[in-house]
Formats: sequence, C-alpha cells, structure tokens
Amino acid sequence: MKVREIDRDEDLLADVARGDTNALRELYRSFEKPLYSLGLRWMQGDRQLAEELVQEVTLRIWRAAGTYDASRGAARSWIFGIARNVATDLYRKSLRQPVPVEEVEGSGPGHLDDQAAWRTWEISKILQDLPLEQQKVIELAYVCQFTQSEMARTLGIPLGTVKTRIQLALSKLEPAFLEAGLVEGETR
Amino acid sequence: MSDGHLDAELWDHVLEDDGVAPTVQAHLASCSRCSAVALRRRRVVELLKETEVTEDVPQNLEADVFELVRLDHVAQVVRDAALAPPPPAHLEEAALSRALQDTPVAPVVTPAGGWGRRTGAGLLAAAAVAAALFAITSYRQVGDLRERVKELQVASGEPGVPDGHDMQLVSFDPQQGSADLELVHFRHDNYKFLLRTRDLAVTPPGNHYELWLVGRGGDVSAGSFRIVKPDDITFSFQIGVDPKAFPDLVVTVEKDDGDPARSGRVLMRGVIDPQHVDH
Repeated sequence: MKVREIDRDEDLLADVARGDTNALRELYRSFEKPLYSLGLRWMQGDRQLAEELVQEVTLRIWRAAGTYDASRGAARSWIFGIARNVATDLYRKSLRQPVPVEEVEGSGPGHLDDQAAWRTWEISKILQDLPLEQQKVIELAYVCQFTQSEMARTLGIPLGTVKTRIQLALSKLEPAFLEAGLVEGETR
Repeated sequence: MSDGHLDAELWDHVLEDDGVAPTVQAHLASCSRCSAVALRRRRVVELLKETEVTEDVPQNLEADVFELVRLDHVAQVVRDAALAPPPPAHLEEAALSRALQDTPVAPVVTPAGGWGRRTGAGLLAAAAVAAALFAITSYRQVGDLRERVKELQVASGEPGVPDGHDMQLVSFDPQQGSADLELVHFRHDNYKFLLRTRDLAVTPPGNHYELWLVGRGGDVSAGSFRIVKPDDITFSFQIGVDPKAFPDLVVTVEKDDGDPARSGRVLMRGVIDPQHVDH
C-alpha cells in the first residue's frame, strides 16, 4: 500500500510538472488534511495561517514540480520540505518581531520539532489511506477521545461494530507505521 | 491465536479490554515475541494519541487554493513586476509613441476595450494592467486567502468569480503547437477570452497573429498577439459583443501592413457553443 502511494505521488508530480491541474488536484487531496493539521500545530492553532500554509505549499508545488528529482528523495519528503520552509516563513512573519536565527533553525515553527512534525505528517498521510469509516473511528477514539460506547452512540452502530472497525484500522496502521519507520519491529 | 501466538487478543489487551487481559497477560509472560508485538502496538496507539489529526479542514479551502492556482499567471506578473528594476524614465514616452504608430506588439495582455485593430489600445491596456499589478506588489505572505483571490481576480480584470466554459481550438498544423480557449463571462455583459497557447510557432517576421470572432455580422477582431518564443503563454482578450452572435473563432496570421481587415491564412479554429454562453 505504501509503495504504491509513493509511486503515485511521484507520478502525479511528473504530471503536475507538465501543467496537469487534475494531477495537482489529486495530489492536493492527498496532502490537504495532513498539511492543514500540521499547519495548525506549527502555527499554534491559527487557522488563517494554516490555510495560508496549504495555499502557499500548493502554489510552490505547482510552480516547482519540474525541479523535483526522484533520485534525491521521495515525493512526500520533498513536499514536507517545502511545507517546513513555508511554515518557517509564515511563522517568522506572524511573530512581527525578530526571531533569533538559532531558535528558528533549532526547532520547527511554533516550537514543534522537526521529528514530531515529520511524524504528524507521516501519520496523517497514512490515515488518509484508511477507509473513511475506519478513519472516523480512529479520529473519534484518539482525537476526540470518545469511549467505545460514546462512539457507538455517536455513529449509531453497535458497540461490536465499533470494536471491529478499530481493530481493523489498527491492524492496517501497524504495518504501515512499521514501513514508515514510525515504530520498530518485524512484520508478522 | 495462530502458531501459538496471539493476534487479535493483543489488540484487546493494548486497548485495555478487561475481559481478555488476564489470559493474555499469562501468555505474554512466557512469549517474548508477543510481548514485543504488544509493545509495538502500544506505541502505535500512543502515536495516534499524540497526533492531532483535525477533521475540520475549511470547506472552501480547496476551491480557494485552486482559484489561486488558476490565477497564478497573474501572480507571476505581479512577482516579476515586484522584482523588476524601475523602468527608465523615457520608457513611457517611447511606449506611447510606439502605440500611436499602431504597431502590433508582443503582448502578455492584449486588447481591452472596443473593437477593430486594437494594437495601440492593447499596449495602453497592458500598461493599465501592469499599473494595477504594480499597485498590489505589496502581495502579502500572511493574509486572508479570500482577499488574495479577490486581488488576483481584480488584477486579471475579473470583477468577481467567473462564470464561463472551456472550448478547444484545434490547430490545423500539428507542427504549429496547440491552444485552449476559455470563455469567461462577467457581470455587465463583459466577456473575456483566455487563450492559452502551447508551443505555438513563432510569429513570422512582419506578421502577427490575430483572434477573430466570426458571425453573420462579419468578422470582429478580438486583438492581436505575437509568439516570440515557443512556450506556454496565456493571452487575455476582453470583448464587448455578444459571443452568441459571433460563434466561430479563428486565429489568423496577418501581415503588419496596417490593414484592419481580415486577410491572412487561418492558423486554428474553434466554435462557441451558444448554449453555454450565459447572460
């Protein structure tokens, strides 16, 4: 699943470089939510700046897709790099005051360190590949911190179905996290 | 359980389902492999808890972002204008003098306004657009997305969200490249053609390309343009007649002889579908 996703992003970037806006839209839909989520964390909850981040990153991809070199890294890393640069610029400007260089370079914008930002980006992208119903239960469980009973009531489904969906989702996430290097161990 | 190891039961254990925990605990005490898997699954859950995945991306974000992408050629002119050194003082005089000679230009933006041979007016229109673009060179990095879309729409001459449709102009000669033409309708019966050319042949010396609307009322020139280098270039033509009355579009190669009538060979041709022209 992961390998196909990487290939797809690289293929899409190649199409974007040829001026294909449909490819840009497909690529955009794969990163909109992860990037907006990351933007909110980087920008300390400022929704306008998070939107600005998504907008700027998309425009830079549109303009610079032709410079992407697959031999130098995966497409998602390239996009993450653009996002980080844009976020740093936006964060500096939003502060309206000088920021010591070492402070900005030593940690990510909004004091979210690069490793944590990369994890958020990777996890968000992986979650995007889950079926929507499984994404929903994961979000309710771990973002909204609902109990399984609350989830069953909210979604209008039996408690057993909630448990099944969570387990199915986690069973898919585990190998994807492993492949992305987010957790260590051997596949079973 | 498979091969003596736990699987689904481990998820229950990690998710702290009290009903199975004691059984699993006993197995974990003697199975290092399942213990390692349980540890890893706990980490998966921890990572999910740490990751703040929002589910409320603003509904209009994608539409707004892609409106900016659509208008990016305008933003490019803005950026170029912001980066360019100030023009020499004599440039305006030279440009106006050239315009008065009614010589076709190699435009980024071609005629706005009335009809007929418009190359001089086109240059003035281009200058006006350039002035408008200079006026927004304070192009914000941090700002409201909607405002930025609106600024670019205004800079490109679009007083509002366009309502139009795409058409295809077919090149007669594949060696000549290709072009798409988008008809955009604005309020107050204003229409615009956005002609995007791809590797269209360089305009022969002593000639210019001209876009014509053809109907029962005759031929009406929308404006002229030149290709000085095969590239992906968008030309904008603002028109003041009803496209329904002039449904045929042609691009011709005209000589720079000052004759406003259409006499050159047809380079490419397209047809407006009147059903898709809005009023």
